[in-house]
Amino acid sequence: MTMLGAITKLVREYVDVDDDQLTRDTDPVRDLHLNSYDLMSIIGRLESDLGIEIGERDVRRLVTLGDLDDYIRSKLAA
Amino acid sequence: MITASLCIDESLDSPQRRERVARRLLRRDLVTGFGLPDTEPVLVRNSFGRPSLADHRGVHVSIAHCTGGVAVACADDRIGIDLENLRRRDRHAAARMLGGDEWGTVERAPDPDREFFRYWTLKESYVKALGVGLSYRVRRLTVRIDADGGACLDRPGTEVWLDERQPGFVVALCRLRGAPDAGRVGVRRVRLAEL
Repeated sequence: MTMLGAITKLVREYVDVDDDQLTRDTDPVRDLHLNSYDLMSIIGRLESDLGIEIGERDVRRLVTLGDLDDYIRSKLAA
Repeated sequence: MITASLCIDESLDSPQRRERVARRLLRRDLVTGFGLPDTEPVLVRNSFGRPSLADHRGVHVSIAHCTGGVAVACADDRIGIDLENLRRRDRHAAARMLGGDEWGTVERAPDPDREFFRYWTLKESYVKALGVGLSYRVRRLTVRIDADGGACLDRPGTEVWLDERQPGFVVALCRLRGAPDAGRVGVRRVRLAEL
């Protein structure tokens, strides 16, 4: 499974949405109406599952699922 | 001056419906509480998503929603409101949000899920009043909750209130004070049929 696939699978635990509606361009707040608690839960889950740390300042730049995909892959590659 | 209103209804299950109800609640409170014209409020958002009134910058607003509920607050100071469904707490979110002794306080509480959402909504209401979204390191905020439900944050000039009268929900309100102490602030219940 790709990293984006893993992210979309996780997001679908928080919102009832078809897989084909989740793309790199999906904004979880604007398009899926996730609230801060959902986002914090998802980010915390990714941190725990992948053994990375996602700083609060970085969170602001992660607008779309594609941003999150790129960010995590760069963290894992570092 | 602060107004806060809460509408709970099982029909509020879609984001679009909650948004419509939030605007109706806002309009009502802006008219009755602040004497603004009875027109659809025009909202603009900053880069973190914080809403403000396009035509009345002296009145601050905040909107919160969750499954089955909408809450709005209006004030002449910066204001933040948060509303959450009372449910099982997420340990990943807790790890990012709770600081210092708070984790132990939550775990030792008679109802740890309720205690967690008290902390969460109080901190989130402060972040929403600041208008900085998830970029704020909420672990650094210290919350103190009294046995009688009174609460405070370790930030000067900040007033917070918890409201847990609605079964299944927790509401928190935060004002960044510029005006005299507001005293006890209550969240008014509004039935959907009234809107």
